[in-house]
Amino acid sequence: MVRTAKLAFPLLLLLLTGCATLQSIGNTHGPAAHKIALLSHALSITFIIAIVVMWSLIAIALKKNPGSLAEHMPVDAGGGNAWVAIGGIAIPLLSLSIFFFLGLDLLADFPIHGDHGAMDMNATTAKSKPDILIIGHQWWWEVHYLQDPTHPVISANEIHIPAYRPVNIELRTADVIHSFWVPSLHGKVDMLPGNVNFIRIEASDPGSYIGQCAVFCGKQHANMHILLIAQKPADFDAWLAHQAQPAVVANNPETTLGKEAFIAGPCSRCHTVRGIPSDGKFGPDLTHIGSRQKIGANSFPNNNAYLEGWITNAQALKPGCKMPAITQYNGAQLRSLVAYLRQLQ
Amino acid sequence: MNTVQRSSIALIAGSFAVACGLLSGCIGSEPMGGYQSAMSGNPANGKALIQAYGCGSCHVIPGIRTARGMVGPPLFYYSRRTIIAGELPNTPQNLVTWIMNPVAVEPGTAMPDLGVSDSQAHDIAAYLYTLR
Repeated sequence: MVRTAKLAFPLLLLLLTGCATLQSIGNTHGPAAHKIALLSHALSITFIIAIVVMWSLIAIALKKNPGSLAEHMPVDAGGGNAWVAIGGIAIPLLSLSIFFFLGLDLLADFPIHGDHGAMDMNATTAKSKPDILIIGHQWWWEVHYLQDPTHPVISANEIHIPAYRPVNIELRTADVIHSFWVPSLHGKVDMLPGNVNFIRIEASDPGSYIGQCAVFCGKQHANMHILLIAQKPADFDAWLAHQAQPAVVANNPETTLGKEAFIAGPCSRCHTVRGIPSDGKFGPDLTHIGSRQKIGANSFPNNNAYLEGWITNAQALKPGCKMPAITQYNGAQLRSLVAYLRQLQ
Repeated sequence: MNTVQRSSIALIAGSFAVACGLLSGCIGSEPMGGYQSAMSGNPANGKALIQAYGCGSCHVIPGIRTARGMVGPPLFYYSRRTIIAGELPNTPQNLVTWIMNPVAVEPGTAMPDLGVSDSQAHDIAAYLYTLR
């Protein structure tokens, strides 16, 4: 047992070195995440120093005055006042005050407004003018780009933002409590039923950031991944303009068969592809599904094999998810459906 | 010790010997059709390719953690199977053909053409033939 523990310890240290990957609060790419990392590192270091000092003092005291309790009677109550005043009051007051102000500074990155918790969610939203609305669902993310308030662009799971500038994001939930968390960019903010929350995200570098629902929300909570892509502002504008339009699909027998299967079959009851007769709202918007990197709330790569496996039997890949196993298509229909969906770039 | 006791001991010992003989038949028996093995191809590379192409979205494949699909048949004991796609003898060349272009073998199949190259298909076949 002891031997195993001795072996395991260096291995655990090795694991810690792996923290500098994408999904980590130590790998900061935005001002808010930077503040969180600073606060957390400062707290950890202060805590370690306090522990070392306290145990050293105890060791010194034990070494200096050995002997039984009887020899030390009566306990000298008059000699320790300075220790209590400095070590017990002054030092904690100073260090905790520093952390209090660091914490206040961090709070400014969570846009808390006067109407927080108000009954009228829409009035709150109107005041806050969010750029993006994200709605948590069991177990995926619905994303509305509100840059043009009259024509929101609806997408899912792959969230694009412009880099270098703050983006206000409104957070809601369609069912249970979820929590939006992209550790490289910001802290966690909960999505609460019957309430709206906001988060202001700024990515200082363009790139892909991985996140995760951070509150247990049911069976597939662990597979409710976020892929957030920060683009250079010009690239983001071009991307958004493209997303606002329906996808252009090559007209060949296979994609036509796929499109017909989509409209006539169960797909269109739950999913929307703008530009064809389909307006299902229960599942993710698939207007540009072909342009996304992953499927199943960023659980699987978006390729022919996974798309087909997901359509016919999502329950085997993500047991309990709301996408039922679709068993009515034959082989040729399935292949053409996948070909059609991948064309929705 | 009388005759009855002696004969019952003999009976128990005899049944034990027979049972051992039966059990030994369970271990290490060769399947009637034998094992199929790859002519060429790198099984380790094949394993990585199976993950990259996402074969596991439809098939349960031993040795591949994420392969838990329930669309097509599980690929246990692949080297012992005698028929591919319900119609082709399970030979290395047929398996490579099937992986590369399933629709050419079976026009109505749901198995998609994933754009697997010839050498990649050999690697994937090599991995599947390690499943004994």
